[in-house]
Amino acid sequence: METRLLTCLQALVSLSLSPLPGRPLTRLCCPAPTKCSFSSHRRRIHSSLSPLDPRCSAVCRSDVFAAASCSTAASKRTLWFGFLFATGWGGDLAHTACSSPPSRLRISLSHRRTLVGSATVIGEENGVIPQANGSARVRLGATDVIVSIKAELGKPHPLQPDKGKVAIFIDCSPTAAPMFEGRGGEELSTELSFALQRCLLGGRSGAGAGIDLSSLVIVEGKVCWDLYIDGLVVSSDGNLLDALAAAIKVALSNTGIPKVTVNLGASPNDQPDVDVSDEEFLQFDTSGVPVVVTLTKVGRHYIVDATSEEESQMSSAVSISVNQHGHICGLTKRGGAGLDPSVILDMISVAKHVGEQLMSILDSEIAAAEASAEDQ
Amino acid sequence: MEYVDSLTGFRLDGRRPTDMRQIRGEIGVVPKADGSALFEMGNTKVIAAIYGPREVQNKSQQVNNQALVRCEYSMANFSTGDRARRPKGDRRSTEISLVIRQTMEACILTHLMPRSQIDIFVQVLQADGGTRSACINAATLALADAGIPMCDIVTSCSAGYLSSTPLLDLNYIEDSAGGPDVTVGILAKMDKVTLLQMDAKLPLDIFENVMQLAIEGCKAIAQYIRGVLLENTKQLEYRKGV
Repeated sequence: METRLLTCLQALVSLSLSPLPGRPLTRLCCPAPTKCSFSSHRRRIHSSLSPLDPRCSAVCRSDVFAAASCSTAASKRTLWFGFLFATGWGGDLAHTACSSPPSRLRISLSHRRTLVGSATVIGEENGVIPQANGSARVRLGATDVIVSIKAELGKPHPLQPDKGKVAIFIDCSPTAAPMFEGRGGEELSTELSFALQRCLLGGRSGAGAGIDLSSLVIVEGKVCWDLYIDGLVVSSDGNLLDALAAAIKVALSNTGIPKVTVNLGASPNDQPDVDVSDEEFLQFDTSGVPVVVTLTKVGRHYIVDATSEEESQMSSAVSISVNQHGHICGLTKRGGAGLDPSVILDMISVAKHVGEQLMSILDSEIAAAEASAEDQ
Repeated sequence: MEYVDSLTGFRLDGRRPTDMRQIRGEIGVVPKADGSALFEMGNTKVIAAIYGPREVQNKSQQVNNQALVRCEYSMANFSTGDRARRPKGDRRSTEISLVIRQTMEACILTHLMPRSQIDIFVQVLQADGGTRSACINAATLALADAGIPMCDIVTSCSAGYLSSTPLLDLNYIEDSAGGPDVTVGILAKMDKVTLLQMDAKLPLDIFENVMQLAIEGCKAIAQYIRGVLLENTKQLEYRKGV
């Protein structure tokens, strides 16, 4: 088994050494016996290296893969990495040939789109929607989401007079996949909206919210800000929840809430007189906003940042939101297959570790985006 | 309200009456789609994605001698100034979907792809007047990116008539002024009009001027789109290593 794999990897290594675009594709073929597990694998490379394919991310990803195989060609790691790709197509081979690697390795390798990839792979833009109070666009490989935040004046809920209101709405555009046409995307949109609400807004009381709801109150029981968070999935290649949560965090950091002065009427029943400043803006403290890390179980492994191909083969996925202190702020499990409780605990510790890395990447990206905005 | 300054002759946003807003086109914004493009006209920003030609999903809609072209227009919640949650498939978006579909069908060589389906999805990210035109321009770019055979490129532009002046490429404020709004779509090379819509009324001789202005706008856009496509093809050539 291992020799076949090595042949296959050698093919990849030779591929990574040759100039990528011009190479004839027929020379990539692996020996026939490995066909069952690697045919789809080969197809992937085939498709991503097709000379007319302008989509850099696909090329980039196979490039990263090939480069990784190149560096540690004979070690078990590479084999395992190769398997990780193979499992994405249902060939659950991972347990047949090699023991599972330590969990840290799993992260750094499979988290290839953000950690192995360069900064251009996870791209962020601040202020993409000028009419909103804050907006951000986050790209994770081929996944592309836009989040816009709008603040409107409203009245606090009678049961929570000292808290503002936040609502999250997610929309899946049919541009992302034809199945989102018409009402086709509604189910997924609702699922994502609720998962994000659970992860970011705490319980019904709003006690564990990542967004400080009491900072949205202007006059207790009378006037508050209603924050509308609208997300749009423009392109979908898996891991939507993580991308949306990251985009919300970036958009919140970019949000300016106008300063408001209120003149309360003489009697308590009078409608308060509100004056909204269009010059002075207050910034949000977004350090407490958690990031979401989804761990997808494929075969016997769980991976972070799954692509849609990997998601199509998942048995279950756990989304864990982690804040800057490494605390768990929310948890959602999807998929039918059951998980062993000890695996979930293991997943949580992995998510905590990945969350810290993701948070630091996001922070540096936010700082870079702000710096470039100031330059302009 | 004065839409054209009587002293300087400038419009509210500082353009001359025959000036178009800044346009920008970008190809390949949705990596998973067969073809995609982003098109901006000033603050109006739309994304178009093409899926197809592929097998017809709903067999009862299959046409045996030509391709089935479908279109869906959707607006993001945050696309307009006031945030409104609008239901999918309202009358306005159904009408625009139909307009885009008919316009694009006119240029796609559908008879070359019988029993197949082409989906055009347009998503408005920002609406500032002229979404119809921007959607058609984006769809043209995306169709070209998808490599779908077309007899010509369709481009669209609007023009209006306010303060006794024909104005090219109306923005939202000018659009909502209630004056006539002429949206024209042309096949650029063949010089044929495939789309013509106008609301409100206009004397015939003025209409001719306004329409001529819109056609000029369309031609300018066509030139720009050709430039974008050429640049894209050069990039592909470069990547191919020719």
